[in-house]
Amino acid sequence: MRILRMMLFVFLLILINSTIALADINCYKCHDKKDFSGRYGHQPVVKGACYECHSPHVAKYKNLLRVKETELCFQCHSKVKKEQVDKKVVHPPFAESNCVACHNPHGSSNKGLLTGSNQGEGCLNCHKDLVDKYKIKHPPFAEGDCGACHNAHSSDRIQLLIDEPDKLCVSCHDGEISSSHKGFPVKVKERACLTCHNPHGSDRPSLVRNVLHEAYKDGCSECHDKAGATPGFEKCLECHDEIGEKINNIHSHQTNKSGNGCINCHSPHASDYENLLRNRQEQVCRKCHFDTWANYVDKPFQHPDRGICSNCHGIHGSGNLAMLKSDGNATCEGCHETQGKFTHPVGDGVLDPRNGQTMTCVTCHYPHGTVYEHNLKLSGSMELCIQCHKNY
Amino acid sequence: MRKIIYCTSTLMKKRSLLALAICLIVLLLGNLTISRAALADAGGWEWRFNLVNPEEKKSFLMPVALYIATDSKRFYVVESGRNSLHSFAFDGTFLNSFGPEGVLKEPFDMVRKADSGELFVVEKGRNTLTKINLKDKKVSPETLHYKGSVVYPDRIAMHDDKIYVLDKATGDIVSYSYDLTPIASYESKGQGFVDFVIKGSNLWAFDSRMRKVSRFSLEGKLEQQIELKGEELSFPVAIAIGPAGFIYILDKHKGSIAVFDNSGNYKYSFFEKGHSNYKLYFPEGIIFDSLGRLCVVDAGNGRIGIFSR
Repeated sequence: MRILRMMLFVFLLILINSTIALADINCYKCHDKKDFSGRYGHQPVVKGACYECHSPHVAKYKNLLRVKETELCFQCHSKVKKEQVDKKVVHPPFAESNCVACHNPHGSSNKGLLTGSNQGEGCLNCHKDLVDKYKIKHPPFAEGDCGACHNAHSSDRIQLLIDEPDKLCVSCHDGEISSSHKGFPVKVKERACLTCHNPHGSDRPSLVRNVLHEAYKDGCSECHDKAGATPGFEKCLECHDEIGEKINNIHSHQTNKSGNGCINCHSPHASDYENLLRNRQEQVCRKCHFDTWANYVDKPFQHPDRGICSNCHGIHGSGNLAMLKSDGNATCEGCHETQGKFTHPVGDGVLDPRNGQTMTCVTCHYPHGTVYEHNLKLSGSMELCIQCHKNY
Repeated sequence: MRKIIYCTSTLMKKRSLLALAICLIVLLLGNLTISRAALADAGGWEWRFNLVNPEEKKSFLMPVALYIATDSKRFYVVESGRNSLHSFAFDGTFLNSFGPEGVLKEPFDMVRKADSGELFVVEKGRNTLTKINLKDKKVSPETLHYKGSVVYPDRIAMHDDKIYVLDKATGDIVSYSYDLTPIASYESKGQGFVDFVIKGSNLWAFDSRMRKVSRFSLEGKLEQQIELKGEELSFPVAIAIGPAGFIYILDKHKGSIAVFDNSGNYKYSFFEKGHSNYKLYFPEGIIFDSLGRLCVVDAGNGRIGIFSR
């Protein structure tokens, strides 16, 4: 019993000593306090409790962090992760738990400890294509208030928007929409703002997108009748007749309630993108083919230029599987010239024993992205081969 | 001594037999468990046979539709990759082919008029609904119209002297008489239908992007909209109504079939993406035949899989 009391006493002494030792550490003896201050401070830093994140003596992780950088923040901010990580669109740094990509863990001049001199500066560190791109800028964008329209962690909407695009526009511009569209043959419809306007900026007044449809330059009557209704496919095909043949195929992207599927992807009025696409091609396709994107986006082995879907897919129409431009060999051979010549036999007469279909590159490869080297569907060391070569 | 040896050897024989019997039982039980597990993965559906191309003997090239003629107990397969139609008996025996000589251009779906035997085929390549009289080999392509606009026929069905056509341009369904006069429309309130099926006195249409099933009366009245809940569908493309009234949704990218009750609550899924039987690769359609068998149009694997319970 006496020994037990002694042990308890020694243990308490050690515990008190260690607490005094931590409390006594003044990190700022070596580290300049200025580097850790800002208008907004991270609570542990404000309290002088550097040890909540860092071990003062020795640590397994970089910067003497107590736990892995990707886990550390969520030990306190678990609610943020729990509530936001399961959304449809997750900002890659957030998905990777790379919080310091946007937040300064010590202090910042911005709310939410965001890096940069204003909120948007941090965003533009990665989104460099938007820097100095426009002569005329949308005020929230010019002020770096990206959060006015985007949620930086995650969203159920494309491009991390906090609401449907037109609802966002109307939330500020409600009163002026009708008055600034006088002479339009129809009421400005919902979901129409981004057809003509770029929400970040433009070189044209009123943020009208930079490239105008030739027909639109000449006025509305080229395509619309007096009632202003959306014209059907046939109107587009009057000029773009080469597309008609492609659309008349097993697979096409035709359906639109208006009866004109062209406007699913193309703006009939103005755009900032090639072929008057409504957005970058990857974004346009992802709007409907979200599952395809989600299936490869986190895979370690991805096809280069995977965002340019039209490299491989007949985007207007195709009679091939998966809407490929041609069969699973010819599509790949456009770039991979030697494929099939000195590798596994593929092509006419080489049949997959599982289904009798002609062996092609996509029999073994999943071109978007996989967890296996060379974008293989399964491990190339054996698992993939024994799918057919059972006696291997 | 001899007696002892005899007794020992008899005992050993009995033990060996016993051991052999135990081994056999274990093996049988194992096999039974494995096959039950496979069936469970297939939702209890057991693969019976595949319909395959009669000339190639192995597989079709891009089969995209199956029509079941209940009256004549025939399957009709639309093989778009070879611009052909093929008929089979209900037991899978090949009967006839039509179209390999280049008459058809990108056939996509078909129905058969029971009394005359005429075929109505959607030809995507011509954007027509093409009437085929097999007796005199007469082929008559017709461009359809509805309310002044050209219709782009996609999926079709036949019921009570009417042809129902899904318009790929608008995503709405229009019914026509045999002389191709429009009768009624079944409008999508969402992003457009991708498939539909007629079961009893209802037309069930599926809006893939909205993940909603609309149930119409055959006169065109919307009676119910069912939101599919509880399962993350990837790229659903086709609908069938099962014998018990459940909604079967074919997911092209997942290679699976998800089952929902008629309130839209998710029940279970079966099949997976792949190439062997019980696996699907870019499938295009599902349909139940009059015997309650599940028929899957598996375009990527070039076959029509017939399953029963």
